Amino acid sequence: MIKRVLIANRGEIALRILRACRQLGLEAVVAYSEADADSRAVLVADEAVCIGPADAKQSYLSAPAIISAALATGCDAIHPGYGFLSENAAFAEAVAAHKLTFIGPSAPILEKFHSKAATRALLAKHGLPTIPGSDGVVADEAAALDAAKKIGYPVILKASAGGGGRGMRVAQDAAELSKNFSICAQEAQAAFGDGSIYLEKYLSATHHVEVQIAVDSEGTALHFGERDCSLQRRHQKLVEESPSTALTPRVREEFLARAAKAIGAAGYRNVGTLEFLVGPDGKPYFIEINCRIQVEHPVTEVVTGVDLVALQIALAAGARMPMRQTDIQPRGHAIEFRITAEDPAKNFQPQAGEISAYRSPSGPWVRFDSHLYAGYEVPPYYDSLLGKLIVWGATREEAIARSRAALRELEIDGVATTRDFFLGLLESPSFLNGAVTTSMLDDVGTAAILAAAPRRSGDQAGA
Amino acid sequence: MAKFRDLANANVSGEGRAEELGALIDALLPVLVDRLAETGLGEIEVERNGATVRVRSESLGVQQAAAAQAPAAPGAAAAPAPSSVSAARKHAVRATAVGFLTLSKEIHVGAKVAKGALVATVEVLGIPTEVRATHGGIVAALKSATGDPVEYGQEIFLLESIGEGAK
Repeated sequence: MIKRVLIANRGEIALRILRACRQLGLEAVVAYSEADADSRAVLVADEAVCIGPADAKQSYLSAPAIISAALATGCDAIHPGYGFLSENAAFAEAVAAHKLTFIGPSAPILEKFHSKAATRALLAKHGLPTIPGSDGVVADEAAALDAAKKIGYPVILKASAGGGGRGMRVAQDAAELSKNFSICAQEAQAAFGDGSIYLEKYLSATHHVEVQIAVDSEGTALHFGERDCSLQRRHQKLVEESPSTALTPRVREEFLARAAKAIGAAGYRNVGTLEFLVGPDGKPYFIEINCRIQVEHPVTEVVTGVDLVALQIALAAGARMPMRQTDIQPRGHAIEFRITAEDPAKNFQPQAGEISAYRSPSGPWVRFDSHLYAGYEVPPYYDSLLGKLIVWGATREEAIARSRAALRELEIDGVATTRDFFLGLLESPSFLNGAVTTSMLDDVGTAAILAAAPRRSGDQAGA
Repeated sequence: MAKFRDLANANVSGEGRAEELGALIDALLPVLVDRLAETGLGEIEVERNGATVRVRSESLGVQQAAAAQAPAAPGAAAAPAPSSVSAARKHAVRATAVGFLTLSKEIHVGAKVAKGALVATVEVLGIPTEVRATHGGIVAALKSATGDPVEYGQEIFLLESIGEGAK
């Protein structure tokens, strides 16, 4: 049983978790750093507790501070959100050692799925096709060159402990691999405390498709359809949609069922996401797993009608799966736009400062998950996500048309945002015809997309 | 929204605004000076609306201050003056971590604290985190007690600087 949840995160996801707790009748305490004292989650919460200074290492990344805060405020569970400590097995273990429930997979499961190289091998054994790659971690440069020769160039070097698009480098040939190997290992060591590297065949213009799954404590595994996250910039997702334009109905059905079956059999528990790249044959190949609720989870919520955060909390509390696979019938099309405090005209440079004016979009089938309010000061210490616009339509075309209207309605003044970039994107023929690949931004160019955005004066007239 | 520290410190008095403070001193000063003379007390302190006015006989007061703090100007103690008034400056000593508080034994209202002294610990998962006085002074009011859960930055007690001698 969970009665009182410490929300150990910030920004929009803290608010999202708070809403789920309230809906479930759970008490919630928002943990915040000094820099987030005026954040919306703190203002909205019934109770909030300051856990440390702005520096995340002493607050959102401090396991002792977070667990101590949970004990001091009488919580019996901790929701880690995404990022920060959400997939940290040592943290999950410490949480459990203090007789608190970690809302996510247990420490042994996080440990088991921590190594990307080992997870690839494990899920291949359970029937998931994987991208050709090295047989686990490559020990050194010589082993990497050897593996790359077998796989065939181009290859991508990946940090085994990596995530969020960091610690990845592409090598077109042996010379580039030699050059990048030590750099990549050093980056991985610095970012994740683990310099282990593995190799995969690099697919340049492809679709990135992921499957939302949930598994209860008995091993009952369901899938909740896929999300297409192909539109990326430096391996960071910008837009996600469901269903994917890259899968035929036949491929989709088989692939989703196989993913759910494999992850249940491999021993995974709680909610998670399996990421795939679509190969030249049109079929998805497994690349990695995310052992947490994801930023883009609302896309799935909107098409399936399932509250994934509420489900996640229920499963962590030991509940059996409250639905069957046949109950999950995705409907229509949903698109999410990540509105960030980044300036697309300046190479997506992160912005900080006061939101001088704010108007959120609304209307039928428009959801804006955001912690913004007019007067809010965007702190410079954390990631730049300001909000997620999720729009549903009966068809992809309807969802796009409604997205245009919603984006025009959205007003954020005081910091540069990615809003106009998305307005331009929705005029791009590549996006409109569904040819959204991982290399689309490089091919079309940010400048061309921005230039296609309707003039801002037009919005003012409609304000 | 009620922040944790608001709930924990429901009795915390606010900081007085400058003009309110001025009016308060004007009103209280003559009364307090008279009463000090009548009673022969070394010091009288009155708290109103979160601000404290303390009136003290100079000869006694400076000796006390000198004992607790850096040496006062040599001539000051020797030169008796009728009285001095200070709208005392208060400094909050704050928790350095989130967890459970243990106040040092010598911390009670009226106790003298030297800058840098270990005044409390906050226990974070069994490991004590030190809280040291950021200013020297006299403990004016306790805001938390041993055993209390405290959050990072929460006021533990208020220190009042000691007249001219305090830094």
